[in-house]
Amino acid sequence: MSRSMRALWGVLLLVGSVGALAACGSPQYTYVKNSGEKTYFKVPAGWHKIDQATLDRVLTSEDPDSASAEVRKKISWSIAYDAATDPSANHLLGTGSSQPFVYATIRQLSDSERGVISLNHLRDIFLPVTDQARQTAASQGAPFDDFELLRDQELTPGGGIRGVRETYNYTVPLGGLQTFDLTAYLSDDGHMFLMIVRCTAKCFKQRSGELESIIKSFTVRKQS
Amino acid sequence: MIFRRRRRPEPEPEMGDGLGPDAAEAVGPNGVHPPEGPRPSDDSPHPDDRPTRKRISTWDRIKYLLLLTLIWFIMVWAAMADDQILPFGDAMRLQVHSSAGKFLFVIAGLEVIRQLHFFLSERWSAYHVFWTRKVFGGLNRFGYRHFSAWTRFRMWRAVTWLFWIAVLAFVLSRVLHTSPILALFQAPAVLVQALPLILQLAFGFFFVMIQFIGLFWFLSRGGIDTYYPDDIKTRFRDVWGQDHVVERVKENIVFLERPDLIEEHGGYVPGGILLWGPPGTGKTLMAEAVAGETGKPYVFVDPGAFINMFFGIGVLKVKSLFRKLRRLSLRYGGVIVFFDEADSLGRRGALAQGGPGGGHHTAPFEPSGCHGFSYLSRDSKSILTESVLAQFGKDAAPVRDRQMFGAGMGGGGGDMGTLQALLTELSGLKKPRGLINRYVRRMLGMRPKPPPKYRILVMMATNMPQSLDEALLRPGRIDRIYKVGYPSKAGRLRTYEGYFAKVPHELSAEQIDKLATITPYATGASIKDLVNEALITAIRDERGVITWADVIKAKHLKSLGPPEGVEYHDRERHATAVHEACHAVVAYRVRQHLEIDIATIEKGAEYLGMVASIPVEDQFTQWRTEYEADILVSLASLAGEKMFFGGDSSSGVSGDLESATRVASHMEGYWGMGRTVSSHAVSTQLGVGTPGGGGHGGKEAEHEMRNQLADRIENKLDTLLQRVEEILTENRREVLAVAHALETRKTMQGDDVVAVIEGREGSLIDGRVYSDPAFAESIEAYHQASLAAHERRGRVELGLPDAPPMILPPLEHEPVAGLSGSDESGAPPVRLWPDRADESGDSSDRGDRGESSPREPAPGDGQAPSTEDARDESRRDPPEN
Repeated sequence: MSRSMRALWGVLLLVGSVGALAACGSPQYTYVKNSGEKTYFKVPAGWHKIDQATLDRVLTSEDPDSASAEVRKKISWSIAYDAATDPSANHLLGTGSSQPFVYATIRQLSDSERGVISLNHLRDIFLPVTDQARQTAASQGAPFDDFELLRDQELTPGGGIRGVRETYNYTVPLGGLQTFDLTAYLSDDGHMFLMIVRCTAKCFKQRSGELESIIKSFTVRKQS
Repeated sequence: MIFRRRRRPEPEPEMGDGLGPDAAEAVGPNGVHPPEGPRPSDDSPHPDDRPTRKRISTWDRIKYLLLLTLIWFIMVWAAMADDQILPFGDAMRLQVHSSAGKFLFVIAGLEVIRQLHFFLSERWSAYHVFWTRKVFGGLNRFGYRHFSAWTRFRMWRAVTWLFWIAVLAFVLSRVLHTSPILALFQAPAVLVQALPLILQLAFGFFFVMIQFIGLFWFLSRGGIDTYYPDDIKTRFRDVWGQDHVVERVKENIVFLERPDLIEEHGGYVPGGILLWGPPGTGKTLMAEAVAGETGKPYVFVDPGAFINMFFGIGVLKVKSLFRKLRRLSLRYGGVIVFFDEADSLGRRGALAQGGPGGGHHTAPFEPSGCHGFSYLSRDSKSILTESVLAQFGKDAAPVRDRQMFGAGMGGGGGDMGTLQALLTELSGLKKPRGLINRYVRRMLGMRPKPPPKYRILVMMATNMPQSLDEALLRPGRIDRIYKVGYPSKAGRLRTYEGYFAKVPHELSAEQIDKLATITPYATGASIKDLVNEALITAIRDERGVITWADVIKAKHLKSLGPPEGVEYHDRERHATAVHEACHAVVAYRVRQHLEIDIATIEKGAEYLGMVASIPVEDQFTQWRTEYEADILVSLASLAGEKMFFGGDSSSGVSGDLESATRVASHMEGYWGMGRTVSSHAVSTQLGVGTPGGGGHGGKEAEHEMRNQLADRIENKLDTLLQRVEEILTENRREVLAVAHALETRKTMQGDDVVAVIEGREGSLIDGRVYSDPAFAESIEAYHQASLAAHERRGRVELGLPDAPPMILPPLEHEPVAGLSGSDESGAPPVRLWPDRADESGDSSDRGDRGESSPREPAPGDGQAPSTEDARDESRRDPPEN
């Protein structure tokens, strides 16, 4: 075989291997990113993305045409994935489902918020976790019981980023015992990064490996 | 478009006949050699004898696939960089599903197919023939059969347009997030939306451009003056001494004003005249006379008009100039344009490229020492000058290169574009002009109108014709070339008469004739200047009338420059005087074709002393005896110094020896004036050896030749040196006499030098005293004292012998000796010095001037020494300590 032929076959083999490697299957994960804020995480490829408008409506109860909605769009970014076959944004705030739900958001804090926010504020950003917050919530008649703190961890990934990871259980009316995993970061330039994974306690326990990989993939690389 | 790339098939190297591809191509299948010479571009060499495609190299086969692979990995890398948790495998998979990745795979697939097609074509003859002859050949045949070449070109152009429109539609669709077809329709709306920005950018562009355009427009103005008939009063009768050229120029003017004289016979009006010659010979004056005589407009182009800061301005100026000329030509039926100092237009000649030269100087330009140039004949001067200029030319070339690289903004005289533009305009007068004439008429199916007859007479003047571009001088551009040389004696006489007629003077016709004789290379400008200088001299002396003495003084001032006022000490003054006296005496004894014009020991800017000569008559041929006389005069300084200073000699003879050697070299080597006949130039060129040399070849022959030539030159110089020694020995008294006169007077007229040598009365000096044996002895004694002082490098113990009273001119001089015909002709007598009575009113001023003028005798009874002499006396006899 001539040198020319060998080179041709070599190149064809290279191109073919690239094609074969690339085409041997779809990625196992959906890689979610906000390039501007250098925030990344992944969810299994089979999970469904929640429609952005539905998510906004459920989370904020705002008219999407309102001025506040316009402002919010400028200062925040959010995304949600649901493992349920019938994905719904209500699986985050309502009774939940037996399938995991992931919600992530990034928000630019106002000057007043930057002045008062602390790690305890981050802990209580979704549901009351600290004693004071729970007492306050209880006094206000919040319908959450059976609080169990499973993890309370402070995170310092560097680059001016610090945060907390909180894992806790709450019994939700009509939903049973639910496990919430909250990962929240603050950056020096006044941004808050948040990811919440929700599932029933049983589901969380059974799929802990899968969910742990999702939670640990939540990465903020923003340099202040 | 890589997948559409077609290669012209070439013969297969492995033809089985042992011939390489070149051989296979050179000899056809039938063994018939193809005709030599270039073939049509669309005609392949052997269209039917290619069984397979020529194999391409490995690199050509894989380069595009490698490139696509590289692009692929760059895309993967970019995705991983954008998502920092994305692993390599998933990044690869994601890119496959991206649109860019799919597009890349499509391209790669097409390239693979193309390479497979090539691969098969290289090895499978039937496959190759099918594609080349059936498919592509069929398409070609179809196209050639049904469409003309022009239609095929237009179709291909349409395909090209469609391709780029498709690309544009695709890009716009991505930008506008719509389909490509809709994007094309939305594009105009987008364009309208962007119109303000486009207009802003356009405004900015034009704002910047208008500054340049305005700047160039302003810079391209000026340097061109237009005169209309009767604006200039100069006439041909004001041009003196160049009658033959004036007649020719008149002829051109006649043709310009009455073109039918020549055009009705099938000829054409000459379009260009070049006047060339030394500066000041009347070229510009002649052009002014043309302007004054003609009834046509006259455009004067300033020499500096084409010297610009930026490249391109000269081009604009030339175009603007010729637009104006065409307009004037049509309006007035003709126009004359005059380029003064035309060498500023075309800088291609060797001399034109000269600049500040190197450090080489020869005798004429030695900064010190005897002025070993002035006493030579005109031809010898010319040889020396050419050799020096050639040296300057060699030195100048690198200088010019440096300037070329260093000139950031270009500019300079006559840049390339200016000359080319001028040539184009000179040749382009017969082409149709005008936008409407050339394009609109053609669109309407009409032929452009031929241009009218622009009768433009281009006149140029230069003193450096060799620097003009040959293309500029070809017939059709410059038809006639006239040399405006130094005027003949008749011309000079006419010029002197003309200028003297404008000022009050007391010169007789004979004096003016002699003046014309003793100023052989005078030009109109120098004559005008000399007359003016004489007038200034007269006015300085508070006289309103020019005398012969004023003229001589002005001539000395112009030829020698103002004296530096440097005083030699006694020994050096005597040595310089003896040196120049040797030149003068030998020149007088041996040289018949020249006569001494002036001898001086007054130090000038570049010499210590000088003996200048002038031709007796206009001469155009030089003879061996004249060259030998030149060499004898040159060698007189060396021989004289040795003879008079006990065998010692000074470095002041270096220039003389250089001149002598150069002339002798030409005589021996080139002019057949030596012992041999053959030309050294040809012998060197052909390597044939030299007379008397051995039969060597190459460098040895040249070396031998040089030795032989050098020996002959040395022999000739030695022979002539012995001869000049004999002449000086025989004329010892005369040399010392002239030296004494020079020490006394510093500067002498030629006839005074002769008078001293011959012991007779001169115009300013009475040389009879030098024939007095007693005075000659006193001069010899003074020389011996100077020699003794020279040997011990001390002071001269003996004073310079006083000139007897008869040397000094009387207060009121009689008509100049040799010019005494003035009395007979009835002309007023020459008054060399003013009347005492005339001066009595202002003695103090005169006294100051008298002291400040070293060559001017003090007024008195004609017996007293001059102030300069008195100063010399006081210097010679300092108070003893």
